[in-house]
Amino acid sequence: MFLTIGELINSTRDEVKQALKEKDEELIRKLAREQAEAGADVIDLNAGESMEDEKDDMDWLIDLVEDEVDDVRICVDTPDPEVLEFGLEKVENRPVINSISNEEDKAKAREVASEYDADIIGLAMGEEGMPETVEDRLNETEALVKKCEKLGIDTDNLYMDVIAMTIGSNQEQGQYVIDSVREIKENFDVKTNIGLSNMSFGLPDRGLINRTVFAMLLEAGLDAALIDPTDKPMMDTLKAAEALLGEDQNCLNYLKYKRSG
Amino acid sequence: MSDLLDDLYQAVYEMDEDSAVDLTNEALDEGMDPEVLLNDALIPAMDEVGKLYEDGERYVPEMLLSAEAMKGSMKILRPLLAESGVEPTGVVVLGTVEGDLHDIGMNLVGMMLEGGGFEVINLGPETPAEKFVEAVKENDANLLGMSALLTTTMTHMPEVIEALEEEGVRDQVEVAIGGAPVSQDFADEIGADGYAADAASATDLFKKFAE
Repeated sequence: MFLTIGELINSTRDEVKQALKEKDEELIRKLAREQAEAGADVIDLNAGESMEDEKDDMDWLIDLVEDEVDDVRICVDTPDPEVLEFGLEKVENRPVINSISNEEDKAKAREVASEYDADIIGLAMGEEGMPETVEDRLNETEALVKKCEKLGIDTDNLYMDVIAMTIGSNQEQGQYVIDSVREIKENFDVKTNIGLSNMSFGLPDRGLINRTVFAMLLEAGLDAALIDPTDKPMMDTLKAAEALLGEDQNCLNYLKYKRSG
Repeated sequence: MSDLLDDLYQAVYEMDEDSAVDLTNEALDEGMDPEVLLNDALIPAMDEVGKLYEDGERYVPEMLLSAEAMKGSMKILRPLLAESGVEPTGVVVLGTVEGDLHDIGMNLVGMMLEGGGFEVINLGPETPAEKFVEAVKENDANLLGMSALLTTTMTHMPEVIEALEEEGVRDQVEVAIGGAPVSQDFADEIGADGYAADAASATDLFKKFAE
């Protein structure tokens, strides 16, 4: 089943940054509720902006979101292994980890990830920086799979993030991420993920670009995405694509989705 | 004569690198002053394109093409300008700080600065502090711009400023910072000389510094 990860509670967004500063419970509750109602399976929580007390803020966010949404799954989104461990320990349901990679300074995060039963987002990048080609992404996947196996991580829980880059400055990147999803799934026993919105940077009508590539990625076998689930056309695309790809028996989910408005 | 200037302006404005190169050569053959080509065709064209971008009428791919057209022309003009002793508006070292791969915004700043007659040394993404210092020394730069798009990498900005101090070149450059997580407050806190919220205001800021 496709995993929709709601991206809105992220401290790099101004309103969330502000809410963290002022401890504005209402805004966080509203964002959690709206994303869940719109169909998010997982709510991503990122408090990285508050460099001073990220752990306290993560603590506060988890309490609020778990109180607001029944049976919510939380994605602990942090660069700090200590905050990661804290979040994984605290959440009620099976968490998602955002993220690990082949980078040296992610060693501790990889270790922490191995100690919990969680879905893990693994970025297809390492010391050489951002991947350029499909081959780069496959190499990073191979290296990360090896690291995970060594740590005893079940790679079936590993969601390789294919790293979206803007087509505005490099027009090959659209085809690259689509091919990467397809080839990663062919060659490795892992799942795939993407944070879509980078793709459309610098272009008009970003939603159109985002949902078009989303449909293409779904056909290639994409398993999860960090998206704004309250972006209705985006969720429309997901439901229609699932029906078109034969993943929605008798189109019942699509019908239910359309009837619910 | 001024027809050629208009045509060169149009070539950059219309994102046509081949024409920009041809027209530059043609104009030089007719004895036109390289400085006139720069100041009366290239700079105003990029200025106009920058304005259109700011207003949301042009987009990143179009900016890139106009910048390519300007660069094609500048490749021919730069040695001639240097020969005749024309100084660039300023010499800017640009880079995204260590660990940060997001360079699109910074590249836009670089393009708009080149369009404004600056000499730009673009160190690209993931630039360690010592590379910034090296580039400032090597190019005798008087301006430095750095960007960070992540809360986890903006912490490298003060390191660059410290490295400039340690190497005794802090007084030689005005330092501006940019990127989503940084602010004027952060610039003040780390002792940078300025902050810009977007590519257009970065260009204005550097122009002010260069005056």
